[in-house]
Amino acid sequence: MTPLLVISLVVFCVGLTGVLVRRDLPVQIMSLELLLGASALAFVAGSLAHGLKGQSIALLIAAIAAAEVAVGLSLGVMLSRVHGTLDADEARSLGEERWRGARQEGRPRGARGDEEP
Amino acid sequence: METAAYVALAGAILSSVGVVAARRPVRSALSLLAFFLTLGVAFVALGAVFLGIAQVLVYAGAIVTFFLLVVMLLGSGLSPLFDKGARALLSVVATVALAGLTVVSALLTPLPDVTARARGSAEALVPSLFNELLVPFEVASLLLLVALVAALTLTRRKR
Repeated sequence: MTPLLVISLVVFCVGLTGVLVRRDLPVQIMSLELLLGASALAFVAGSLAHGLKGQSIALLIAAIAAAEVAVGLSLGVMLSRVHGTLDADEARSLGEERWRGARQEGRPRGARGDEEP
Repeated sequence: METAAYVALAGAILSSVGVVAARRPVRSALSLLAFFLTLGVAFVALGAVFLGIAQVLVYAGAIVTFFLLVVMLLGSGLSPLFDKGARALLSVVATVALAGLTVVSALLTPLPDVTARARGSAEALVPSLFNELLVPFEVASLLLLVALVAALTLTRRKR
């Protein structure tokens, strides 16, 4: 069980490095997926010794990952529309005016692939 | 089977490094695909058959496709890819320190050896999933619904 836990820890730390070091939002979310996959591996390693509950929890982790990807990537689309970049550090303002203004004016600043249907 | 699992997990570690280190987001997404495929193979080899299949279906079939769609829609843009200098160094040092601490504590803790092979077929998962974990299961469905509405609301434009 210990080697499996160490492998899951290595993957977790690689993913954590990705979240901290990368700056474009989609790759940060992919690194978050690595974190969730590593924790699923840890649950499966536990289920080998302690029964099948860990595998059921790993299934629930897949649902959580799907929800996280949906929200995170729509935030990425929003970020690209408002700021014209995917750099997550650009989103520092909590002020609502900028976001609302960009929504109503409807045109992105420099964002690509954003045509109105 | 044990050996097959470890070979697949070595592939998973390599492809996770690929996700973080690739310069183009499309390559990161493809490395993520390789990561989930190898992780699914490892799950099957460890006896978690249903979980491995569900993993490949959900992640490789749906989530990675979604990533590729968004990456191609948005493009990589002109944003910088990596943090530079002291910030990146600090992140890496903190992560390595965390890894070291956790490895030491995992090696010091007496953990049971894997002797009994858990056969994780779909039938075998039913008692735990629908009895013990019934509330988390239902909450997960609620969570998916909320995420769906949130994604729609965030990307909607006012007419």
